[in-house]
Amino acid sequence: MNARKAVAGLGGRYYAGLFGLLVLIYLGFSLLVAPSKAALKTYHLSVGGARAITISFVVPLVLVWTAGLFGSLKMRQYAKLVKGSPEAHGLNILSLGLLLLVLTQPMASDLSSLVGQITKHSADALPTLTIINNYIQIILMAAAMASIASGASNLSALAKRRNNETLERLLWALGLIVFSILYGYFLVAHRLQGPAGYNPYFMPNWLVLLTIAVPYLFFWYLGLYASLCIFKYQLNVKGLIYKRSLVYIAGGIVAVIVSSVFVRFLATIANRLTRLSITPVLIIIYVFLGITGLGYLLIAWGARKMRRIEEV
Amino acid sequence: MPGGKTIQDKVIDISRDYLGPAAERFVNRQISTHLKKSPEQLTVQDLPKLVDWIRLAFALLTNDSRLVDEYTGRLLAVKQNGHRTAKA
Repeated sequence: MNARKAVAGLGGRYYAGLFGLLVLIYLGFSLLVAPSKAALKTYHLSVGGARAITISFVVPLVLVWTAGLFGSLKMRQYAKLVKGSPEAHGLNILSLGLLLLVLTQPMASDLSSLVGQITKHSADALPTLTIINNYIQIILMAAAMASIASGASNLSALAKRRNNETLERLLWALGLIVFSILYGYFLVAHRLQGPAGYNPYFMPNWLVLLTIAVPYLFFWYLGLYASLCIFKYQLNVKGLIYKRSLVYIAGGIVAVIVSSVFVRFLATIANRLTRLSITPVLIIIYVFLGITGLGYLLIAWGARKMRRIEEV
Repeated sequence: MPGGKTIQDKVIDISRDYLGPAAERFVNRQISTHLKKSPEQLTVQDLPKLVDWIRLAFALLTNDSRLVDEYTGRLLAVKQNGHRTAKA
């Protein structure tokens, strides 16, 4: 029991501290910085009204991230509890990936807020900072997804291979090709349909496709592959209670990927969003929060159930 | 019991259907914590007490009472089979 507490406390405290710091920075940017005059004018809001709306999505967002931190730490503790077992290595890498994913969420938001603040005072820096910000966001996601996929792949390797894997691989490839084409088309078509000179990425189309779209698609694919690996692993192991926990974790990762796709979609159509009134914008934000929250809660629930088996 | 499965093995085998890779750790923990003996020393006579503890612990993991009954019923059947083997 004492050893368990030590495991839970030692690593978790550092991660929780870093997470707390990142969240505080995010809260500072969101709540202390004055709302932009352009936004107040566009949505016909008072400063107080804008603050209330900001609080209405910042607080749930922080709660969602906290649920994610809770889930990934539970998973990490579980991986340490089962140290020495065949599944421990895969679970350890997977939990590290989930933790990275959670930490990169406030980190990415802090960075975007910082870019927003700098460009308020120095509009000339907007193209450069936007490009840097976009690439850093990709790197943050890459680190998390690569780790999640590696851990899940390790777990999947423990399970026996099934006969229908070739068909599964073909369907997987087909789905990826179709989604990639649609996403590439959406990125380019949206820009062409926008106002003259509209270029949200400040880069030529070919560079956006090659260095933004391709990495995102690749890491989304890795994340979905990870969920598939976890799902396949649970199909091949015994244990009704254990299997259910893994299904929650696999489902949670899918929901987190879907929310990431949703964010990229919103980032691309940002200019159209500014033409909408405040209500649809808020609905879009709450839908995003709902999907992300569902993802992290499922991961937290699954990890909690797994850890519970080792505690009773 | 040369070549045959021990009571501990049989309990773990059944538990694996419910707890997967965590089964062995779960069963061994119940034996050492509640019966105060090493898992290898588990005997048929220990089974009723062990099953009671397992019922309590497993009920903390699921609200599905049918699943709890099924699991503990299968464990108790090991005792009956064990007695039959002993008589034979």
